Amino acid sequence: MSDLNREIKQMIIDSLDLEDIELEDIEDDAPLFVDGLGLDSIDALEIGLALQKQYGIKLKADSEETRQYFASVNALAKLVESHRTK
Amino acid sequence: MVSLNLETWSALAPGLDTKASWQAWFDSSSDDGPAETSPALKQIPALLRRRFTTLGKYAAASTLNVLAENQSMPGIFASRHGDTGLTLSLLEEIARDQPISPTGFSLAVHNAVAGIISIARKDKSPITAISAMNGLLLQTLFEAAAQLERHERVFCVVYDIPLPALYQPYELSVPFPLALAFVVSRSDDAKANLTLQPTTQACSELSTYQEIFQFIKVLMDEKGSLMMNVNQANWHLAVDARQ
Repeated sequence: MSDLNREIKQMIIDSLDLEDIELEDIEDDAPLFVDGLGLDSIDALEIGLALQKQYGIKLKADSEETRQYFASVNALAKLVESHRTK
Repeated sequence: MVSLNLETWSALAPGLDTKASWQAWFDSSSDDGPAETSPALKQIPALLRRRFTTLGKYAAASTLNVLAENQSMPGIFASRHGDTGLTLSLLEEIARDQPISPTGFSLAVHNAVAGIISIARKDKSPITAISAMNGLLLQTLFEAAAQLERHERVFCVVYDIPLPALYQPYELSVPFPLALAFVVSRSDDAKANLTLQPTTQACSELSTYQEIFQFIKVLMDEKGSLMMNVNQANWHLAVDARQ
């Protein structure tokens, strides 16, 4: 698990009150929503807010690009990395 | 006169989850609840459970106590203040010019607790969320009587938590988290009969919360009555257990 992936998982756990879930329970490549972790649309908004607070990333709520970034922890890590190199 | 049949009830507060513990509390006439603990709610999946604040946990736990797993019926959710602490925390974020939590925002509406409970129970029956300035219990019973015109049985849950310290100088609230759930029906075989009658008899003014505590006391005794007042009208509520 890369440091960034670890950081993003911790951000997800903290911002969504996933008290019963450990870092190791979240797979890098598994879907975050519906299947996999089983998060819902309110969680998506909450992650969007956490990305804004923690990394200064602002996303459009309904764009196809945003949908892709929210697919997995790996996809979110790519988003954060690309934002850092800008 | 309004007549209701009471099938079952459950009252919950921190450390007060049995008849014996409630009886001991009434006997000590203490204003303090025991140490702050919230119901574990293990019956509800963790992903849904995390959406409940203390208020919702008490409402959900008392509701689950009076309903069987697959029992489906309309619900009346009555809370004077709802999740005022949550609303205040959102207002404080706005005052600090910070973005507010979408989850917090969605849970701060008055029917949020009812919504999560209905999702957890997979019950698509109608839900009513009420908040009354005074006479919360009376308004709940009136609403239940009205709904029994259409439905065989309905459940009610009356629930509140203490107001945040900031608001306490201005308004009364419960001394500790409190939820009272009960099922009323048209059935004459029910455990007890509740009768509400308007009266011109003088009535000492009880606060909304004293009324709820007195009602719990009368339910425990399975017999007795209390006087309640709403909008300058006095009502006499009698509870009579069937043999």
